[in-house]
Amino acid sequence: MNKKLVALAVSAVAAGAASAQTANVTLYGVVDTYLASERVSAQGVTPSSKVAVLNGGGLSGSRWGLRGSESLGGGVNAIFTLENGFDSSTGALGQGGRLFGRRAFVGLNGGFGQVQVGRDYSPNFWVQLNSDDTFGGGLTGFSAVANLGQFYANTLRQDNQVQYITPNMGGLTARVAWALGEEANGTSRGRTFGANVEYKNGPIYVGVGFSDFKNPTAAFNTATPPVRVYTGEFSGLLGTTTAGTVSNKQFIVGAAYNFGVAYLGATYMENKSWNGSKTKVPVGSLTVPFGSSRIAAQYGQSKNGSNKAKTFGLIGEYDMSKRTTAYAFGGQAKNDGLVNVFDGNTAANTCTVKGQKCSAFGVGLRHRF
Amino acid sequence: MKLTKAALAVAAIVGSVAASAQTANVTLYGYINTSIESNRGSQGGNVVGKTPTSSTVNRMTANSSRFGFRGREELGGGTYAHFQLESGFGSDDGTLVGGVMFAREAWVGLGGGFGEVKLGYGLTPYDDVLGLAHQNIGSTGAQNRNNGVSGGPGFAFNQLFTSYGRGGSPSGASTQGNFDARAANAISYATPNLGGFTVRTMYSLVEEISTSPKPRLWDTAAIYSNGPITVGLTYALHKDFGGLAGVATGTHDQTAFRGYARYNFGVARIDGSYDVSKYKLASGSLKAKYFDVAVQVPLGAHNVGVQYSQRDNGAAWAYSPPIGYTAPTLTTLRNNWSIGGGKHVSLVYDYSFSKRTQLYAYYASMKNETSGKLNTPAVGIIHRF
Repeated sequence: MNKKLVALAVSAVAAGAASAQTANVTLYGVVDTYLASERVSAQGVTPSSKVAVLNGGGLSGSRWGLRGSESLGGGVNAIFTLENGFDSSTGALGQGGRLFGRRAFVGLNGGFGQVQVGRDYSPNFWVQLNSDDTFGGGLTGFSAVANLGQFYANTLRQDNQVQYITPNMGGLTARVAWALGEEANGTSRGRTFGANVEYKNGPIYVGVGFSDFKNPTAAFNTATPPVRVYTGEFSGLLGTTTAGTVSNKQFIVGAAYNFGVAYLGATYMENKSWNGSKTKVPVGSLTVPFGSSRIAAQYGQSKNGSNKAKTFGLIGEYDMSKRTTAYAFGGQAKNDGLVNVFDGNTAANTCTVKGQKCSAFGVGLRHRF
Repeated sequence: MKLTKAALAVAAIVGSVAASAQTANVTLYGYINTSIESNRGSQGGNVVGKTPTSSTVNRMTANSSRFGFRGREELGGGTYAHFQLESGFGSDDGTLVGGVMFAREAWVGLGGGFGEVKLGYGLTPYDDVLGLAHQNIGSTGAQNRNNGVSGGPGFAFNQLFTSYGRGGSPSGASTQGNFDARAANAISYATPNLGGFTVRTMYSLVEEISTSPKPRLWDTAAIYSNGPITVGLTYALHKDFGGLAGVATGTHDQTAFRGYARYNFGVARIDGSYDVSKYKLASGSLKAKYFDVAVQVPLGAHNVGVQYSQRDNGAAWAYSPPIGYTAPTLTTLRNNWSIGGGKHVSLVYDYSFSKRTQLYAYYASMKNETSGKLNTPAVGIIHRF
């Protein structure tokens, strides 16, 4: 998010409320739009389809937000973040029409660390983000090449989440998150529990995370084979079983090293569904800076048994200023039999079908405020 | 640039064309209230054939969390233009309340020595008086009729105290809502403050509905607030509104009268409300009475409060519907089983870190006429900006 603060920061006052305390609120945002040519070919069946698209969020999801803190004395602060996601090519609300679908939490921090409640990222997500310097931390984010099955439902962002973050202890931090399922009759139905431990010091980053998602209802998607690993925000459970009885687990480990001349990162994620089906996702990335430019490459796989999908992306970025970046990219995904692996994107031209090969290349502009 | 002075309102960066000569300012503000509740409910066996059951839900709740903009421009001669745009969102899940950008307030108006005029969408004068009873926990405090319980396991407990009338909805079709809700397409006038005394009246047009029934809303409130004393009276008239409690059959004239009084002794604050709402049906009418009393004791930054509230006369409506009124189905009753009368008591504690940040805890216990019970311990945090 933004480091350089901008002229349109806002200090807010609720009438009668903010009399004595020091307060500040920052308005920030990212507008990122790209023009691309996307091509999808279905293995030897039909001629490939090609489409020109203008989309939002090539490098970073377009967003605007409010964040603030209030010093409460004794080193304790009240903090909040409200972050909206939108499609900068259409103006539509993101995250399924939510107002603050990216982040919405309030909490306290201080010497004890941070406690926050609301909607926010899962601990696992931070490991992926911090061990990859390409594509805004995500896998190649272009609609034809996106979402390589890296996250289970409820492991990217979580509603109703209570999170504790430890203080930074010489580079070491840990997070514990508990997302309430809000299901009747049984406190564990639909709940997600997750935790991570991260170490970041100088050029080194190492992180490990784990989450456990209990099924909220009895009847799930019964897709065959049950490898529907990413369906956007909250669905995507596998098979049929009894509510609250089984767990879908995710494990992630990530590491990165900044050599100065290059930034090398790698993650390995394993999604294990209740029925034993395992999806393994290794991802590697390399970023090479040249002054105010960068070239980055990312390669990832998603494997489930003999099914496999691969994605590769290459991007060049040029910082016109600290806040404005122009970029050009190309990427390809190949779905070698991992049915529904790219299910995170419902656009017609995504690689959701076995045997499809998808590619995209284009140019974009990201502006931060 | 981060501004670090709380007192600074934003100088609006208005297009150079617009506010060239005049003074303008816009304030960005917000209120985040998030709690974690354990709703422990049980239903007894009763005359409408409900199966005794019990249920517990642990949940995180966004209690009227909001953010908004308000501003004022001096027009000279003591007259000003003013506006407010307020959005409701889920501070537990980021959702947009009602699917409407400014579902809480959206109006523009003029003010000055003559009072204030507002055009648009917003809270009714009835709610001005209802809101007086909102104590430290804001709009879902245990002292308030919502009891901090925004729905239990399939219970819709809110209805026990709120769903007895219809007001407005932001989408314009003003046949939905409660007496405490907001009205769309509304014009309101408030007198200047005369030694603590103000009167506000609102009329809502129902422009979007061309066929009968055409609901209309006229709400008026008078509030006196001076030193330790606060008194409010309001009368709301909802003409030709839709059915009751989610049963959209027939039309009803609905009226509500509400009185409120508070005295602040310094060591304690005592207040109470009395409310009578009436529904005229094809034959006869229904009447529901409600009252609450509350005491709040401040102890430095701590605050302890207790409230008791009761609503009666829901039973006749629920079990023996009068002629002209279509009875709710069993499913409706089951889902909104609290539409009978009920009692509620709550204990609340809060701690203020500052004027803007509070932690709170409450325990609320409700019981309705059909032996249903809901006990709710909760903890939460409020932050204002």
